[in-house]
Amino acid sequence: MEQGLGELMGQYLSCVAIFMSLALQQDLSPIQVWPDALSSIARARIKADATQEPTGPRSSSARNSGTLASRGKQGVEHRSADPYPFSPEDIEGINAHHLSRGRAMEDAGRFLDDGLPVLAKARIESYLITYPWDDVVVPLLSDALFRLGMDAAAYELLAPRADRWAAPDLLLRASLAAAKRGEVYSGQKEYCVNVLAGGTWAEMRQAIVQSSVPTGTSPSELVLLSYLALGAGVVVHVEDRSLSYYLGKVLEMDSLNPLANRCLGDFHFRNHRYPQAVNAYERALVRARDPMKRIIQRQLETARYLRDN
Amino acid sequence: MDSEIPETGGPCGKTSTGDKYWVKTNPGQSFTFTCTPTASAVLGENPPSGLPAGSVGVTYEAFVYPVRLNLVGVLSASDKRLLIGQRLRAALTLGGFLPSGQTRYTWQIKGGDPFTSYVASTSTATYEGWGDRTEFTGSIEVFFADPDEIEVSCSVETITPSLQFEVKESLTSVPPTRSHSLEPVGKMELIRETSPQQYVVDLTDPTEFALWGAQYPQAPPKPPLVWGMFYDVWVTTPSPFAPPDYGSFAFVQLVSNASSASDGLGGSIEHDPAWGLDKMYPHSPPGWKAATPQAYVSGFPEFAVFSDKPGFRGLSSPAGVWIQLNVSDLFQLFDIYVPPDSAAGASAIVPLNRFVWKAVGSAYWSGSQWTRSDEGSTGLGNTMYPAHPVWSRVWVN
Repeated sequence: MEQGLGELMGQYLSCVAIFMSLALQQDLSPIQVWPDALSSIARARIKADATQEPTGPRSSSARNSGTLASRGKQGVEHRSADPYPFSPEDIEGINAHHLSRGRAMEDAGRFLDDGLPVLAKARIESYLITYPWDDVVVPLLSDALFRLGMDAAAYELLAPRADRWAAPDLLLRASLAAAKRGEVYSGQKEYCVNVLAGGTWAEMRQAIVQSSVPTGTSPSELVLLSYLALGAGVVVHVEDRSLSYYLGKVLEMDSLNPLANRCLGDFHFRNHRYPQAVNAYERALVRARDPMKRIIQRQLETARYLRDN
Repeated sequence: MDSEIPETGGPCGKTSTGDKYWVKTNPGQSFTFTCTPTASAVLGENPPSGLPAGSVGVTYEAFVYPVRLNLVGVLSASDKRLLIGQRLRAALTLGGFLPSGQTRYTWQIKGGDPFTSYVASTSTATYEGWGDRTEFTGSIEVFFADPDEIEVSCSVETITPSLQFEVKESLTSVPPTRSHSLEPVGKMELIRETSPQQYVVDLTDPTEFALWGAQYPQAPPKPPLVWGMFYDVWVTTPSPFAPPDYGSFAFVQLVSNASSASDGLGGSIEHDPAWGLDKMYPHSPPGWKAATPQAYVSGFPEFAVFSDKPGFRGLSSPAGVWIQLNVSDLFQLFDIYVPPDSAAGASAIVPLNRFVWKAVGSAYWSGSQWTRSDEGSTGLGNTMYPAHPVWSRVWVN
């Protein structure tokens, strides 16, 4: 009887939990789960560590130190907002880690900017000796690997980490690594397009897709699209590092790509290289569509004025 | 688009004057227009009087009223970027044009998820989004929640002269640099507090049924920190938006708590599962932190790790009395950011990310032994630039 009541309550609460989860997650689409297919292939080659199931209940001697009290009285208390009591030593350790990571990423980024991917790779790998679990540096390490032509190593690094919860900067690089290997997954293209233009307004999204996104889903088209998403995404995210590399890769494959040229124009504009900005904007206008075309035209006028005055 | 006021004046022999208005869109640095007719004159003698007559003259005066949409709050007139959360003031100037009557301005914004206000406190948080609007003032103030290409347009209608024209400007909203490295979520477990805030798993004499086992790794040889869950974030406002002011960031968490407890003696706890603020705003620790570069403060980054350990505490194990504990807590953890103020004024809070996670499990004391199970405690993923968190109630426990 007592056990039955407990089971009944457990079922009721499980239903509540499932309902709430669904309300937040909605149905999973291929756009969300394509990385799972990629990572499952990669992980299949890695022998999984044995998982540990919780051990069974232990018998105990009877105690009579109290009872569950009704709400508001002394006794069992439900508790949330229960933060870890960080000690000064804990804080020092965490700060040291983040400082170490920050310096490693700064150094590696500078090496990449200076065309020294070997040093960038070595710098990140030396950091990972101390913090082997830190996946934040994985995208930067893969940037170095791509520039060294070590595409297989980049794939091995990225694919096992590419699950549906992974951050876009990792998943876009995983998409690139997979496409370079000839692998294309259902939902992969839509994911890249979503990163590229998913958050913008409908007309702008349509203009980007129709003018700049490859129409097919071949591996080479996914390579271009992954490069484009990596390069164009960086524009919005302020950080210029790696932008010119990825946009350059797009333009090697599609020299009049409107979005890549527009982003390259913005990159030059922000760095006060107005002649280069004008050239890039002019190339962008060849295939651009409104409203992107309208915006590029205004930027071109400004860049021309600043170039000439 | 061309528009004009018809000429006014008298018949031949009288003075005739009039105004014409043209609207020229995107005229560039200069432009030319031609006035017709050209002037001609015939001079002669008026036969009856013998006086000279027949003088005709045409005089043109041309004025240009440059109508501009000025954006205050962006970096400069040529670099039209602003951070998400920074205030933008868009003001239309008519360049000396003074129409009579009430001029109507219809404002439209595309992109950037614009909003007009977000106000949060421990008791409540409200959000007001932007909607296209018609006003009688030539300026608006707005914030953007998403990084995006944005187009602001203002359609102007004047009564006298009767004109209608539209002005557009584009800008880009950009986010701060956000770094996040781990989000471990443990499992529901029976644990015992051995000393203040020190715990071990204990299936025989537990003091808590709580989320446990998430590890925050430390540099060897230090052992990892262990708690219910951890989530770390560092946010940095990049150049050229900072310094001197870097803005700040913090955590806020919403909770839907459907947990319950009951025992064989009639005691029970039921929780209202409605969403509410989880205890405090902003979540403290860590509270508001400066969005400075990682090596800015005394060579160390600002410390921002969220941690939590939901569940039941104060357990006892009375002989012969059953106890049933069910934990079903769903959380939305936001990291929120307020950028440095712009030239247009004070900035607003924007959410950078939402991490959804849950703690679900049950434990049962039969009167002689404990059993427990975790029923899917896990992280449920991140959403960048989510909707603002709003609440009208706060759950203290």
